[in-house]
Amino acid sequence: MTSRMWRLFPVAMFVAVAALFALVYPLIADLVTLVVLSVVLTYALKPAVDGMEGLGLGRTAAILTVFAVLTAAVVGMVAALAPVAVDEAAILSRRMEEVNLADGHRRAMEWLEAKVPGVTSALQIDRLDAEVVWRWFREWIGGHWRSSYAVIAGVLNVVTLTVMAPVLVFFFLRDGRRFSKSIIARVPNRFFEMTLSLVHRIDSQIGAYIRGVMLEALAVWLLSWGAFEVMGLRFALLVGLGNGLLNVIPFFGPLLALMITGALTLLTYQPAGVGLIWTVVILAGVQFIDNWVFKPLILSRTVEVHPVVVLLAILIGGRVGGPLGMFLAIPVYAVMQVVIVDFYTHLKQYRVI
Amino acid sequence: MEAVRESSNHQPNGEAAPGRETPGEWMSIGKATERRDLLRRQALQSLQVFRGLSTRDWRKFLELFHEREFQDGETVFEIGVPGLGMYVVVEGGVRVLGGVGDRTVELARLGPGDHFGEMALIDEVERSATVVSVGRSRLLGIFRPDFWELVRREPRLGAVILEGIAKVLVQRLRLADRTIENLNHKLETLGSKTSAGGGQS
Repeated sequence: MTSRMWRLFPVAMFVAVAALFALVYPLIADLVTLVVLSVVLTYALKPAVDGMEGLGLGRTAAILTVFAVLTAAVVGMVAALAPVAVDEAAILSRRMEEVNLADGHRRAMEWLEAKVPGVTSALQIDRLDAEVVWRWFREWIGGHWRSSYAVIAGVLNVVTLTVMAPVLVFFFLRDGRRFSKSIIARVPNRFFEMTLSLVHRIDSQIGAYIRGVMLEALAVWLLSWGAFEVMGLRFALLVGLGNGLLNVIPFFGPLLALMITGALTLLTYQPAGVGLIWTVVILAGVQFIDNWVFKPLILSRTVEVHPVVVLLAILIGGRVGGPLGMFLAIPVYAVMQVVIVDFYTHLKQYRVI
Repeated sequence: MEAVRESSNHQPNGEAAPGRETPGEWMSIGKATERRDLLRRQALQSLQVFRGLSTRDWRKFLELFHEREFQDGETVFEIGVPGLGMYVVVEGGVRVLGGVGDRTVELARLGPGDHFGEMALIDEVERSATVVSVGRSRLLGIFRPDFWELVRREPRLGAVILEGIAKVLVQRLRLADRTIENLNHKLETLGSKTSAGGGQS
């Protein structure tokens, strides 16, 4: 097999694995969610635990210390922000029931015509049946929320998740090295150094990607939240959080964030047209800063994947596993790329082939 | 290992019951693990490259080592492949083979307590020789990804080990310099004799 074929192989393998996964996923969705969440948390917490260990604590004590600090931080945040978030969500829910979209649409068209005469008829948006669009949007949002939530909470008990995940994370952090070492010990001498090198590379790639994405999501959340607070948008906290989480999904995440935030702005901001323009400007600005500052700084060590492959992987991931699949698509593809392409390179370097 | 074997013989009916270790047997397994770690530590502590480590340091450092067993004639690594780390001979021995023109020559024989491949801990250099096991040998290997993770996690410990490695490499460099100097001197002497002999004829 030529070198070029080896580089195309990951795409084919990804499609094959996704097809297989689509068959078994409904049977093991709860287990997959638990393991994925635990692995993500493990990679996120590992640097902190290693740092604690470097200060002189034993591994177990370091893990428990990090857990204690994290629990205190989460409890503090929830206690401080939950009442605000609940209030905002309740108001938003009431507002969604009260919305007279036709009236809002008419007012938005009048405002646009006042600013740029003739634009609404030129774009043919004055004839847009806003009620149909709104009904479709609510059904789409509700359908996706229900299907993804059903996978997570309907199949897997939330209480089980919040109890089992920390237990798994604790053991992954404490015994991960030992477990990995015991697996590698079984590799024959001929392939030992090559396997060790590959395993470390994969571990390094996954860890850098997960930590980078989480840090990037946090940065986008804080930036969006601040900008929407300055704008005076009612639900700035929730919107910022949603923007940060959706930013994790390349291409589609920011687009979805724009649609949701735009709808919220039309519902709650006066004048709606001005609010919509500010929303577009803010989200575009956040994306600009994310692409030119956050991504290069935070994600510089992640695997390079072609944009077309990114798009395909997300579409397939979304088809197979919904939002979870879209989130996992890139790291899964990146791991497969490292395993397959680097495997071929290592086989040549270590003269196995 | 002997402790584990003796305990498994103690069955009421005289027959072995696999997988049914008593607390005493588990303690023996634990002691066997402790003894194995102690043997490893004794093999490593005598090396100059690992001097200056405390007991706590050793506990963390020993976790990094991978134990590998090689059969007679089995290749540990070949010349020209990317190096990943260093090995310490615990039992048995190895031959270090190099190429001189078209010929393969034995450069050295290493036994228990000897180590090789230190440069690969620092840098991804290609192996400069082939190493082959002589008889059945047991090696302890420490590899670059694990080592540098330890250095990042425990900078003080990493600095102590790096100092030891640097001292070993400096010694070898000095030895290489002296060898080159001697060879140059011999070449010059040979050259002078050849010129003098050529002049006379």
